[in-house]
Amino acid sequence: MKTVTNPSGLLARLGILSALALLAGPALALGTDAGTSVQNTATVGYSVAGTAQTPVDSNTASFVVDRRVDLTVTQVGAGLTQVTPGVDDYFVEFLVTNLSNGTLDINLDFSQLANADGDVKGAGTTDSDVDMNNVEIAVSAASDGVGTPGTGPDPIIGGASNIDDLPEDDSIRVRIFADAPLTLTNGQIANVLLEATAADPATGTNLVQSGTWDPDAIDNVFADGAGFSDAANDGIVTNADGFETVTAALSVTKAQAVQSDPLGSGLAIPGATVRYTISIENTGGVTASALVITDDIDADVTFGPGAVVSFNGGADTCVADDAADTDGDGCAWDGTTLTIDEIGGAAIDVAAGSTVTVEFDVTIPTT
Amino acid sequence: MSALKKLFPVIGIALLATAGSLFAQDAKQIEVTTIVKKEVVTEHVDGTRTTELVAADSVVPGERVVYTISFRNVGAEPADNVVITNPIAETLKYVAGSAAGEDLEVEFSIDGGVTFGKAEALRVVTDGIERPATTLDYTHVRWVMQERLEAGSEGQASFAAVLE
Repeated sequence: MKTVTNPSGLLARLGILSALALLAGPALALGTDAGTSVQNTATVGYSVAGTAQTPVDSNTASFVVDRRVDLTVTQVGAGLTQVTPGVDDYFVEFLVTNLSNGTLDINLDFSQLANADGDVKGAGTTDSDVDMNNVEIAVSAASDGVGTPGTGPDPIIGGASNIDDLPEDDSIRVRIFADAPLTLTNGQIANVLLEATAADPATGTNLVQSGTWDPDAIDNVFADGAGFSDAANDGIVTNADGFETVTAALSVTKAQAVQSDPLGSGLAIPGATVRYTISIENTGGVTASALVITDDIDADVTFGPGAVVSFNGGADTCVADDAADTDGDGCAWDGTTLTIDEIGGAAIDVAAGSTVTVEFDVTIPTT
Repeated sequence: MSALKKLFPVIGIALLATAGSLFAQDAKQIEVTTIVKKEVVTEHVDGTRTTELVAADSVVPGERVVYTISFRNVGAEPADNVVITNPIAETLKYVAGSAAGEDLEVEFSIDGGVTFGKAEALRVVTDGIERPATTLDYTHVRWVMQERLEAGSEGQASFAAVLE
């Protein structure tokens, strides 16, 4: 409640003032709407020979408030969106905000950035210049509401691809969806660009900065900032975000060493026992799950059935019994191929940065 | 207290103004015109600034406009008690200290033009807390001429405002 008083405390006598003051209204916070006609008429009162005369009005000086075109595109969420190769429908999200003094349409365009555009997010990452598949844009079905950015409905694939009638100071959520190709490798980044262009709310056509100014019409005055790859005051704002591949990367090595031989020579001669060591290292960013290890063992050496396979330096063992893994310990042997799908009764998972070792012995027949 | 004393005669005049039939129906002796210009400040390479007034053809929120009211006594008799009153549009914010005019005393209204006072005398009560009025509270500005306006003489009043 806003009332008016004066220093002398004569409010009682001037009680009418408090009612009149309400008409003044609060200051506008959003900026005067484009198209508002601001009019001014002065009045001169005077008297002649001691008699008050009819006050004289001036002409009305007026101008129409022009459209100050300003919009922003901001990334939602810190960091790159992590993707797994072969998985679909990842997205990066942006918030498009209309800071103009009037409703705007905003036309959207998107593209995949090339290597030369560099990293967009994520210090220490390398732009590997990969593209995503099936890149498409989706606009939320409703704006966020002034003062509550980011609260609109989730943009979904198949939604609108441009923004229609975004009120001033309001924002709307926009997502760029993409599928991760199976060919991506750990650490690769795919960046995408969103370009938002201010458009006429009535026609949807891109706005053009007025070349001549009309005091009685809405002119367009571009006042937007420079974006990722656009200049200031061009009616266009761009921003970029990206996808980062986070996947397991396995490197497998196999070593052999003679454990014993009939002559104590240390050589792989008939009758010698040779130990194979398979090392599986995950150099990627996430755990590799449910590994199945197979090894075709040369028919010239003797292995199983009943051979013992040792894991991680003897922490677990299993017995290569038969093709059906009848004993259920995760190791099967069909006479040619050793297949391992469990260690210690559990699926084989290799955490990022860790290594699993598999050891078994074969003998070189004497005949 | 001096501000108070001024308020009362002002109210009297305001009431009279609503009753047009009380005025003498003379042919108007004063001509008055208003123009609006946009103030453009140009910052030069050497750091100096130039301010110029251009036609208000393109105005967006945040920009400053200047109103100039010219008045002239076109009658044969001198005019006394000349007061130029100008409402400040709701979409405009008066620029402190901008109202000017030779031999004119500037007063403001914060109540829709019912009463006027000097800037420093106006006070507003919001939620029971009294504070000095700010430029945002101003609804009208007026200039009270200190001399009589002789026949054939003219004057100018002006003020600046920012489009909100």
